[in-house]
Amino acid sequence: MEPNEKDRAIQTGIALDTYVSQSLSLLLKLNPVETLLPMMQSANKSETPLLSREDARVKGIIDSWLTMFDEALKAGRTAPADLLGRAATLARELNGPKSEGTSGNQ
Amino acid sequence: MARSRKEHQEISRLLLGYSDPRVHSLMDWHVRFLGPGHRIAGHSLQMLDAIEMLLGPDARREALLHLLVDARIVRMNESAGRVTSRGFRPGQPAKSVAHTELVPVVHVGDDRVAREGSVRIPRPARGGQAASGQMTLFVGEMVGSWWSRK
Repeated sequence: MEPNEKDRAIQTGIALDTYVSQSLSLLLKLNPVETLLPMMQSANKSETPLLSREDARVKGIIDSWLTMFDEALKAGRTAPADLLGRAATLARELNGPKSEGTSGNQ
Repeated sequence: MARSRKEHQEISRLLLGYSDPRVHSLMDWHVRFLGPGHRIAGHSLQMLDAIEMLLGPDARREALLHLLVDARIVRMNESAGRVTSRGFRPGQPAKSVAHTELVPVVHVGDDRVAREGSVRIPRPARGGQAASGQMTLFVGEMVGSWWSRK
C-alpha cells in the first residue's frame, strides 16, 4: 500500500467513524420511546394508561423513529463498522453507569 | 437485563400495536445452543432481512424493536416503575414525572439572549435524552439582536 493510499484510507476511516457516531448518537438522543413507554404502561390493569398507540401522534412518533433507525442501519450496511454494537455502546454512555448489563438467558 | 419472549411481545404490542411470537422465536432461536451468549447469532441486519422476506415488513419492524430492546437502546423503565393513570409513579412524588422531560424554552425578548448571545440549557432531570451541555441558539441570537435593535 502506497503512503498516499494509506493516508487516504486513514482519513476515510476517521470520517466514517465520526459520521457513524454522530448519526447514531443523534438517533439515540431523539429516542422518544424512553419517554413514551412509561406513559403507555398502566400500573394496574384496571387503570387507563396516559398514552396509547391509538393516539395518531404517538403512532407517528414511534413509527418515524423506528423507520429512521432502520434506514440508518440499512445505509450503513456496507460500512466496515458494527452499527448495532456502536449504537449499544453509545446508548450505554448516554444512559450512564446505572444501566444494567445484558447478561441473561434470553 | 434479560428479556423473556413474553416481555418482548408486550413491548411490541405497546409500541407497535401488534406482536408476532414467531419473530421473537426466530430471533432467540440460538438460545437453545448458545445459552446467555446467544445474541452473537441472529441479532443482525441479515436476520432482519430474512424476517422481512419470511413474515413481511411489519415483522421486520418488530424484529428491529427486539434488537433495540436487547441492546438496551429501548428500555423499560425498571428503576422508576410504571406511571399510573393519575400521572405519578407509585411510591414517588408526582413531581418525579412532571419534571422529567421539560426542556427550557427561550422566549422572544429573553434578555439572556441579547446579553450573552447564547443560553446554557441545563441537563434534564433524567439526563442524556434532550440537549446536553451548552447549546448555542443561533435563532435565539438572531432574535435577540433583532430585539435589541428594535
